[in-house]
Amino acid sequence: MRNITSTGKPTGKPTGKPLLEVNNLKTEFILRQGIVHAVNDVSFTVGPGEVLGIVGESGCGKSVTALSIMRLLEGTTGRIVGGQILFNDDGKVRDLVSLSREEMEHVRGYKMSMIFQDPMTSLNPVLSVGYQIKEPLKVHSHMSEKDATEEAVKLLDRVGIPEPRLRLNDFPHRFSGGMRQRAMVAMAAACRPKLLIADEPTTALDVTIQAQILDLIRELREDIGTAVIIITHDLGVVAEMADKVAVMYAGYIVEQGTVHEIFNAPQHPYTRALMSSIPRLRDWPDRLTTIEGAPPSLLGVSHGCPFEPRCRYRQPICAEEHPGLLDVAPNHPCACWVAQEGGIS
Amino acid sequence: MNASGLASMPLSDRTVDHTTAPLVEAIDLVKSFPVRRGIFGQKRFRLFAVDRVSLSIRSGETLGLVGESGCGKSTLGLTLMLLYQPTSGKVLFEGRNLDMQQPEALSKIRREMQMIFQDPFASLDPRLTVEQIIQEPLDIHRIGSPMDRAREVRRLLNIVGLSDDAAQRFPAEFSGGQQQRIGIARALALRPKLLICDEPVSSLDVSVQAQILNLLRDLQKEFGLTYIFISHNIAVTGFMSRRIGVMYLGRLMEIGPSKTIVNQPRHPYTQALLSAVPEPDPAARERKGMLKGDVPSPIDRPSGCPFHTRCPWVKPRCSVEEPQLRELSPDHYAACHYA
Repeated sequence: MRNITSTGKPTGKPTGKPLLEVNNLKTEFILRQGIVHAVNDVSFTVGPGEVLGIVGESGCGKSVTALSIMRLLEGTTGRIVGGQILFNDDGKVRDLVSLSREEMEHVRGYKMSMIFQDPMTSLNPVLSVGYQIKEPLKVHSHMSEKDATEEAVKLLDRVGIPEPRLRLNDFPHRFSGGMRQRAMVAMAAACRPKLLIADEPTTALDVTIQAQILDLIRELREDIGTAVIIITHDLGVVAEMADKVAVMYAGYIVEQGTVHEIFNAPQHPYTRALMSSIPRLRDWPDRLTTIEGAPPSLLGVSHGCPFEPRCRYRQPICAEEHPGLLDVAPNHPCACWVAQEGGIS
Repeated sequence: MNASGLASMPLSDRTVDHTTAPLVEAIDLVKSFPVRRGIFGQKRFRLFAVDRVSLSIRSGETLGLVGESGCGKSTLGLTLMLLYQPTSGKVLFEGRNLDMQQPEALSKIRREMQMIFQDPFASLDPRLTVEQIIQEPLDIHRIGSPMDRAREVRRLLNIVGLSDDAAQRFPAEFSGGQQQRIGIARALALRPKLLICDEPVSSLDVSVQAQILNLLRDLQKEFGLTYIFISHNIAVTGFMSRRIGVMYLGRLMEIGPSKTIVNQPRHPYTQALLSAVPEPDPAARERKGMLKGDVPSPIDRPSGCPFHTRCPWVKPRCSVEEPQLRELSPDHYAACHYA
C-alpha cells in the first residue's frame, strides 16, 4: 500500500492537532561563493508532548532546521525562503515565518525554548546564573523579582543543582559542564514551554553526565508535557529519547517514521548504512560497513538524489531526478527511488 | 600484587605469541602537575593526572583506554611516549627503561612509537603541503635519499587510501576523514611498532569514523602494529581492542579482555559507565542516570577508593582504604574491595 502525500510527513497521532507543523521549509545561506541550500522542503509535525528526533551527520541541515523554527537566523546570512512553520498556541495556529520580530519574541523563550550544544557559549559569562534564569520569568511571566528568585531556586533544585539558593549568585564559569547544561535546562524550562528544542544537548558531555541530562529532559516532558525536538548525530541518543525520527541528509529529510520503524526496518540506503556503520556496545563485527566518499556540497542546485554518488543501490534515475518523500509503509515516508519500488529489504 | 607481577602477568590470547616480551610496560607510573590556586597563587597543589598505573602491552595487540574527560587516559598515552617526563615510575619499551637512555638512543626508540590525535586539522601544519608533512619525520631522522623520501611519501599516501596528487595540496583542502588519513600516514612514516591513537575518530562523522576504524584495523594486520587506543566511546574502543583498561581520576580501575569488560564488568565504575551508554536500540530504553553528580576534581581527590563518592555500593571501608588491582579471572583485574 502506498499513499502519496504532498508533503510526505507522517500524519502523527490521530487525536488532536499537532503542536508544530513544518511544511516545505526552505532555508538558504547567501555566501560569496553562492547560495547554500541548507534546508530543502523539510516537513514534519510534532504533537503535544511528543519527542521528535532529527538525526544526521554534520552539515545535513538539522541545526539550521532548529534555528529556522526559533527564527534565530535573523542577523546571519541565512534566511527562510519558503514554507510554513505552524505553531499551535492553545488552539490559535500561527505561522512563525510571518510573525514580526516583536511577536516572535513573545513566542521564543516563552512558548518554545532551546538548549544548545555548548552550555558555556550559550550562557552569558558576565551575568549570574540566577539572573539568566530569572530573566524569562520576569519578561514573559511578569513575575516580581522576589517571585522570580523563588521560582529560580525551585528550578535549579529541580534540575539537581545542590544548594540552589547559593548557586543563583554564581557566574557560569563556577559551574562544571554538566551543571551548566542543567542550568540551561532550568532556563529553558522556566516558562513551561510547549516545545523544547535540544540541539546536540549532550555532545560536549561525558557519557555519565549525558545520561543525567537525558533523564532530566525526559522528566521535564513528563512533568509539564513539553514536546521535544532532539537534534543529534548520535543514534543511541535518538533511540533512547525519540517517539519518532526524521533522518536528514544534505538538507533533505530522507526518511521519517516511528523510532521502532526507523531502527528495526530502515528503508533508505543512507539510514541503513548509518545504522550498520556504528560499532555496537557488545557486538563487534570484523569490519564495519562504511559509506564511501563524503556528503555533497550544498552550494548550487543538485538534480538527483543527494545520496546517489555514495549509494550502493543507485539506478540511472537517481542521478537525474530527486525522489520525493513517499510512504513505503504506513506513515513511513522515504525519499528513495529504489525503496519506493520495494527494491530494498 | 606488586607492580612487576602485573607487568609480567600471563596473557590468555591465541593470536599473541606468549613467549614474546611485552612491547611496552608501565610500572607504577605517576605523572603529576604542580597547580597554583588562590589570588596570588600562594596555594600549591599537585594534580595527579596518572597515579601509580602499571600495565603491559604485548606486541601486536590493541589495548583500549576508556574513561571520562580528565581521567588521565591521554596523559597516560603521552607519558608512555615520554612526551611527558614521568614524575615517578618507569616506562619500558622492549624491556629498555626509557628514562635511562642517552638522547641518541632515546631518539631511535622514539621512532618506534608514534601518535595520532583527535583533531586532525589542528595536528597538521596548515602552511605545509601534505608531502612536507609526511616527509618531515623522514627528514628529521635522515632516512633515505631525498628521492627515496619522495617515493616513500607516495607509498604512504596510497597505504592510507589517498592518491598521489594529494601530496602537493594543503591540509585545509581535505575533509576531516582525509586529514586523519594524512595524520596516520605521517605516523607510519618511520615504520613504528607502537601507535598511540588518542580519540582518533571523535571529531569525525559516523560514516567517516567507520572508514578510519577499518583502516586502522587493516594497517595493524598488515604491519603487525601495536595500538593503544584511547577513547571515551566504549563501543568504538571495544570494536578496536583486545583488552580494555578503565581509568578514573588517574587510576586504573579495571582492565581485562574487551568482551569480559563489556559483558561482565566487575568494578562499579565500569558498570555505571556501561549502563550510561545509550544504545541504538529503542527496545533497550531505560533510565541511564545511575551515577549522581560530577567527577571530583583531580586536585581534591577523595580518600580511599577514588570512586567512593559516587559509588552506589559504597561501604565504610572504601573511604579509608584504597583498593589495589586484584586478578579476578585470568587476565581480568579490578581495583574494588567488593568486586
